[in-house]
Amino acid sequence: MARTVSWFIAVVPVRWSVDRARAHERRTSSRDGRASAGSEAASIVHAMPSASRVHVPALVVSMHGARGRVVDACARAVSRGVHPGMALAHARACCGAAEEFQHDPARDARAFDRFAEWSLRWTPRVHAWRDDGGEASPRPFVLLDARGCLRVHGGAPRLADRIRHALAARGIEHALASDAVAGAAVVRATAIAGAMAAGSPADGAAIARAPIDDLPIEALRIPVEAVSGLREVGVRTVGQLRAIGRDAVVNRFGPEPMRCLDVATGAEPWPFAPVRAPDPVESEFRFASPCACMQAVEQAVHASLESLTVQLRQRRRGVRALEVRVEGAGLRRVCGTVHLGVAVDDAAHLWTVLRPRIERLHLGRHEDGQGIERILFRAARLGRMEVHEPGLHGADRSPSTPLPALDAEREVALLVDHLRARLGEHACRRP
Amino acid sequence: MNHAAWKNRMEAMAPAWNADAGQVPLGWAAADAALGGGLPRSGLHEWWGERVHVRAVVVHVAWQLLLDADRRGDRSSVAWIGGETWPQPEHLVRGTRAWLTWMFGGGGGIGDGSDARARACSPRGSPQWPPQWPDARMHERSIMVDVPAGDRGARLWAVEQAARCRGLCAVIADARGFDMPATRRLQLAARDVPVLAWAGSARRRSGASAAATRWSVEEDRGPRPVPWLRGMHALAERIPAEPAWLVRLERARGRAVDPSCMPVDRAVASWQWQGVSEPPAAVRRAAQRRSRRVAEAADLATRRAADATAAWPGAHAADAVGASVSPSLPARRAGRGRDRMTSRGERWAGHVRDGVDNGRAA
Repeated sequence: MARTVSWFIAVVPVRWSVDRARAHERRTSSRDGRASAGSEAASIVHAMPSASRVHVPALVVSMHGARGRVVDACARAVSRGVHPGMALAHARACCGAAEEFQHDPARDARAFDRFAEWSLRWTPRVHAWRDDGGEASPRPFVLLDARGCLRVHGGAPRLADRIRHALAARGIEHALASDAVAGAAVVRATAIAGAMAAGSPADGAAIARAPIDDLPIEALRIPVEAVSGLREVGVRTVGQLRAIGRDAVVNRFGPEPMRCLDVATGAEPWPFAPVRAPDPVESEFRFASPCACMQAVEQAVHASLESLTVQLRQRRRGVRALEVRVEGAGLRRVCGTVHLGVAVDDAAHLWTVLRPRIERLHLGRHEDGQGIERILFRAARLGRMEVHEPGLHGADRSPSTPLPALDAEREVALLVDHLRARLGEHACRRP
Repeated sequence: MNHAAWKNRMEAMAPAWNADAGQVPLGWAAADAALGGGLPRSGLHEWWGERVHVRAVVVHVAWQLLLDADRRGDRSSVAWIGGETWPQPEHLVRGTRAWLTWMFGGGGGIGDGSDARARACSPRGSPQWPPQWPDARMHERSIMVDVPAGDRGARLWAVEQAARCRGLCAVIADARGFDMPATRRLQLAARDVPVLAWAGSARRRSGASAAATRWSVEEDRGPRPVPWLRGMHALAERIPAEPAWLVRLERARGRAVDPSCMPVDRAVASWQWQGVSEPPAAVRRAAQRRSRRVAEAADLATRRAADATAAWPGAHAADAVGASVSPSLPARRAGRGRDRMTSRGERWAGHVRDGVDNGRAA
């Protein structure tokens, strides 16, 4: 009997506020960006909105009246001497020209929750932790319980590589560590993140190989007061903390440091609180009796799609892949997935795409008791819907008015969906 | 109602093209003049001729439409509907032979905004004669739609859907066998997007059409110049002539085209030697990386020089860290071997400079 190997992967975003603000800025600029008239290069630059900005230092700033304070800074800014907590004027003097973003803890928290949900693609058991975003609070992290999923991903190193690449592609600077003990993975990833945040990624690589006893006590995520107290008495590493008697530490610093140590060493199980997967966006229509009338089926599809799009609009998302399931009495079950070129929350477009397929459905003979009983639509993949300014790009737009790049791409994607639905999956190609 | 009033009324009901959409100059003087500024950015435009010849000319028109859309800030695409209209891969990249123009000073055609004479008198690399790079925008923004050639209804439907799409700047379609109602449908659908329809070989021309313009294309068999070569160049006589085509504007609705002297232009494959002055993104990124490395190296050299001055006030900084502190080239450490750490973790160069063992070495 195969034994289930327990394996945990901890991911700690190093500069979450900066990465989140930059991603938001990138998305906003690509949505609003328009190539200037008369410039051939403008369209080329437009294809890479962030290319010219990657090397500009970025600061996340919290303003208190007229005084600003740096909350987070990118690696480039850190290399120039900026650190969180520094006065904005001082940081400006260190960095020169820098991108400044307003600190928005609520938005950061929401984005991190979405990140935790996104992590569910690797394993169904994900634990996420984040604090209120205070200055001294430890970095948020995501812990993936990869038990049972390693075979799917081709082993632990491959899964870690996949996560690493996916995060790098999204511009998230992160520290990743994996271990058979959940607490050890978290401690190691926290230590690596600390080294990276201090601007020494080489130390991070060394930490990944170092024994856990050599890691600093801050990596245990014990309270700040306890850390400062332990440092006062010369306890700087996990090994030194372990060497002290348990009662002495508890008497002086409370139970928290030893509890964190027990969790890190595996003596105490990790308090795993799994992230709940978001409710699926789905819509179902059940007929009272088997239905073999095409008009009724079309109406049912219309109603289901309307219900689906209402849910999508509530979430401000569009569907990128739609699972369709049609079950009937005396008929073979029909299942399939329709992939769309762009996120869509428009029932009319979904109907346009589905219509050729629905028309080809075999409905059976009503006299023989055959017919459709249930139609189910489920959004297998969601995409972000871009917000449009009403009236600017609508039907009242003049033909000579240029269409924003994102809108033009969207229009083409809708056309491709439309053509593929009727002419076949391979009818449209890119050279 | 007299004929003129009737014609005006019909034009008002169904204009030949959408006047709001504007026109795009094609670079063909006679045709542009006859159309009053260029090809309309809307409506159905019918092309007759052999497939290979029409395709080569239509590629030129598609490039002009795409460049015009980019100049207006419109990042729209081009749809090629029907396998017969699909271009060759080399048609989708402009300026693959731009190095010839750069080397021999020719070109000076439409759209690049340069003066051939001024360029011929100026050295290569000067602002009048900038280097040219290939331009793959058509490759990035083309959609190939495969429709069964025998299914005329599907072809018409696909062209109509594309003509209604606002994200396209041109639709190139296989319109063989489309009758009057079909062309009427397309003419009405193409309000915002020009549809360039290959209607078939000129020998089989038949039937009426509602197209806004009608063109015929045939191969030019007369003497042809080499456009990418400077006129007086010694190689001009030895190089085979470039392919060229005669493009004839036969009809333009709303415009008087005299059948006895139709506007005829000579078209050449100018997209092959007309590149862009902006380098591709990869080249630009590499240049940025290079300049950044150079700047960082210069910064590092300056800081090392400052450190060395602070460490050995009596010594010359450049002597300590290397003589090259040029801002354009990375500093090279001339005395690298002397600045190593000893096995006991001491700086060897420090002892040499100080000349005394200040107690650090055991």
